[in-house]
Amino acid sequence: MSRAKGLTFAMGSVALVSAAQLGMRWSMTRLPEPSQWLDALSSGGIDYVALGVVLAGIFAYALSMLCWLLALRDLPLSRAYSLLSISYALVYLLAAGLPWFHEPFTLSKSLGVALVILGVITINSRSAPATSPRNTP
Amino acid sequence: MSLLLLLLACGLTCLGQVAQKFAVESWRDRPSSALQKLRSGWLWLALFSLGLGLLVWLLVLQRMEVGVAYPMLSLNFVLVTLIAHFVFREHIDRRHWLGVALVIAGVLLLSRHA
Repeated sequence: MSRAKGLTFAMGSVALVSAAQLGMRWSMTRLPEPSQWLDALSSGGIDYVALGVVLAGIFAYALSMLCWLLALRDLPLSRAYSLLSISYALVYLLAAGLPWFHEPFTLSKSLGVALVILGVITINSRSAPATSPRNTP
Repeated sequence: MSLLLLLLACGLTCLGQVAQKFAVESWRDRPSSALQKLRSGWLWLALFSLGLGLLVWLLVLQRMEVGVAYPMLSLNFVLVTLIAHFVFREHIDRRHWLGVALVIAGVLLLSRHA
């Protein structure tokens, strides 16, 4: 039963971190670059919706870390990392599929994401060393 | 430039992970109160690097597609494996190295879209 709880928290962490990454990308493309921050402040040309989404993204990201820690109470670290690699595919597929992102599918990008996921699963397919990182930010 | 920022974000995150490890180990060696724990330099280094890493990451997302940049963060697995091997002298088996090679191949492929 605790295993099911661990899986639930891990999938919650995957969903939250994916939403956080997409939200941060959406909003950062609508905010000025660092060299234009002073101009934007003095002219008042700041998109407050985008600013709010950045903050919400950071909050969702922090919440995903919390879910991750709760998942680790019931799941071995290696299993949890393999599950986390689902978020790479999720973010790539959603950024390509959702209309707001304009990030087209290509063969080489898809292959790159697939290789990365295969690599992470291979690294964690046996008892992994305790030093494996939480893949942040 | 985007790739340099991405590497910087990875490096800062990795530094944060290592500092966390040192913080936890120093608490284990010397049992202390919560207040003393908060005075650990390693803890503050960990928080500082993770926070700065997040800020750098936001700048990466301003310049790169998230569908490309986010999977490239798996470079952290490579960095931490190298640190575990060369700094902490941990044994890394062949399957683990194979996974590291796969991650590097995937990241190289993705970096062409940076």
